Amino acid sequence: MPPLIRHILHRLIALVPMLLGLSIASFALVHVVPGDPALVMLGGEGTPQQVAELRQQLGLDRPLPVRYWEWLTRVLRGDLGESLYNRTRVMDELTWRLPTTLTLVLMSLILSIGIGVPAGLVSAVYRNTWVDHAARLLTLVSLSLPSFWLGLMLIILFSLKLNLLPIVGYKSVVTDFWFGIQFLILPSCALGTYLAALLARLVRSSVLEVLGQDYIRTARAKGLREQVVLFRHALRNALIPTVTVIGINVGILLGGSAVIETLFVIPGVGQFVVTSLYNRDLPVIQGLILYISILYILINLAVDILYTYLDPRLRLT
Amino acid sequence: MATPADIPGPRLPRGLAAHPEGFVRTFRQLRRNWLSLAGSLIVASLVVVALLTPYLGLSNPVKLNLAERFASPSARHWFGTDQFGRDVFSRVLYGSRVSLTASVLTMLGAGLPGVLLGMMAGVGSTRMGSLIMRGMDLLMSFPPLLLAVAVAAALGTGTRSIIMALSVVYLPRIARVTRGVAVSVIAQEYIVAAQALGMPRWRLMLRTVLPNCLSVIVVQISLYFAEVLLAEAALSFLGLGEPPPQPTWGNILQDSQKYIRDAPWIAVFPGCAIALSVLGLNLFGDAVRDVMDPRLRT
Repeated sequence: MPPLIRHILHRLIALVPMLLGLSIASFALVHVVPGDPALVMLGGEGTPQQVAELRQQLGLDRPLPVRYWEWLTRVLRGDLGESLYNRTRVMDELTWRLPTTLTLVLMSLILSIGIGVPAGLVSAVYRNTWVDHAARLLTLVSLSLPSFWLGLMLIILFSLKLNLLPIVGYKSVVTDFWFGIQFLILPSCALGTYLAALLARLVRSSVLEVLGQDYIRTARAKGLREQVVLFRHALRNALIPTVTVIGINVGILLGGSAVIETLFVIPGVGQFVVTSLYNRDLPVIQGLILYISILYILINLAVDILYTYLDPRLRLT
Repeated sequence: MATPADIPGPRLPRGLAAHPEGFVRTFRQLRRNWLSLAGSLIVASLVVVALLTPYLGLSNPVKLNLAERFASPSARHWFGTDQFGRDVFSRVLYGSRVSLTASVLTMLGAGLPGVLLGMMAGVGSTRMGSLIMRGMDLLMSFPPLLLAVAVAAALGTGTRSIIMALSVVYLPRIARVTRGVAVSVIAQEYIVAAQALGMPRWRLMLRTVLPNCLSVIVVQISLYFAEVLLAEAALSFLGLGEPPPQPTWGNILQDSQKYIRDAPWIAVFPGCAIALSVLGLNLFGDAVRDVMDPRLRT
């Protein structure tokens, strides 16, 4: 078996206990926390009878392992129950909301890579010049901006004052591709800025580190053009740690999408989590968290495999 | 007889004083210190403002004053007033108390058990170590903000549940860092020596390993502080924090959304306060790192 395939298989097998643990943790979130979930769901103001009814409906009167097993088999069949809010099936909601959130995350990712990586590279190449200083100052400031506030400011500037981009009348990318993309420009800017700054900082330091290596000197001594040295030798190697950081930070984007979607009133998965939160719809939140976390783990697995592919040294172990 | 000038002694390499590298380095050091200074100043003023707010004679941050609704920023109301005529400046200042308290308590709530677990994982038996770390891995496999949202949802709204939720998010991160340092400290010879002398394990952990790990842990915690402040604002923006009318930076921003067309100042200033604080904390964190662990300098 080729080592790469074996590595992937290993990782997939290691995923099983992870997913099991994840499901237990998601389950525990609601059922083991102090206080009565039924009481929490009623906002702490239900009559004793209402509480008892809800307890029975949630199955709180049965032993914990039994409840876990029932919940797990149900969730694995793709049945997340009904939303208390508008009685739609949670799975249906999820299916039509997922493309939106994925587009948002993807656009933020493209934006942050498209800005962060070149910025970091330029900053490293023109180290200690005014370009570098400006880039680093911008990075520092960008790392400090709350995404939702940045979003608000972008709305004020680009939608209310300049009237350039729409903020009401969302249409999904599935139904109206170009309008959907236009609508998601501001949200993905707000969401992606933090990651762009993080990447710029990281790329700068890893390019600087790589540029100090012997093989770069060799490449230059061979008389290669500076562009070739920079892009083929330095950047490629500097990007290896960057890939890991991107993988880890997809989680930040997924989590951040909840805030950004709420702000921009985009009907995505994150907004669904928050709406369920307002409605104290704990079972829905539980299922959504589990699904999003699984998505997150799978993305990280993909990144990990990509990483092994990019850095052949890792395949030996 | 040899004159003093002939005696060979330590000499500066020729031209160092005039060497541009020397100037650049000094300048860089200076700029670094300047940034550190700015960070420390921002953090210090944040703490002072949070502590002194009730004694500054500001207008009541929760009392309605409908006669002065939506006043734009002026000498009377520096940051303008909101939909109930409350002074935004006063609300932002009072909000700093909530944000800062929540962040400090989160760092304690995540830091103490995190360091303890990390220590136990690093010093204890292999089996216990891997058990603890698998648990931590599990917590880290949730997207951070979503985990916080879920925990806060289960606990109900309020600053207390935000603190607990963020503690759950940061606990595994701190535990992981602590274990990493602890393992590298344990490999040192002086630990082997202490063990050979028969020092009990708990004592070894508290008296020898912990002090040697502390600098890295403190650096990490100070760098997380800014993140926690941002996350706290985000959660309270989502409405998970202190319910209105009590002002927090997050809930002022949540409120402000409805009025951004006509009263953008309600949205602008609390965000500036968050951004400035986070910037200060980031710079301060870097400064702490430079002082305590120069190896990590970038």
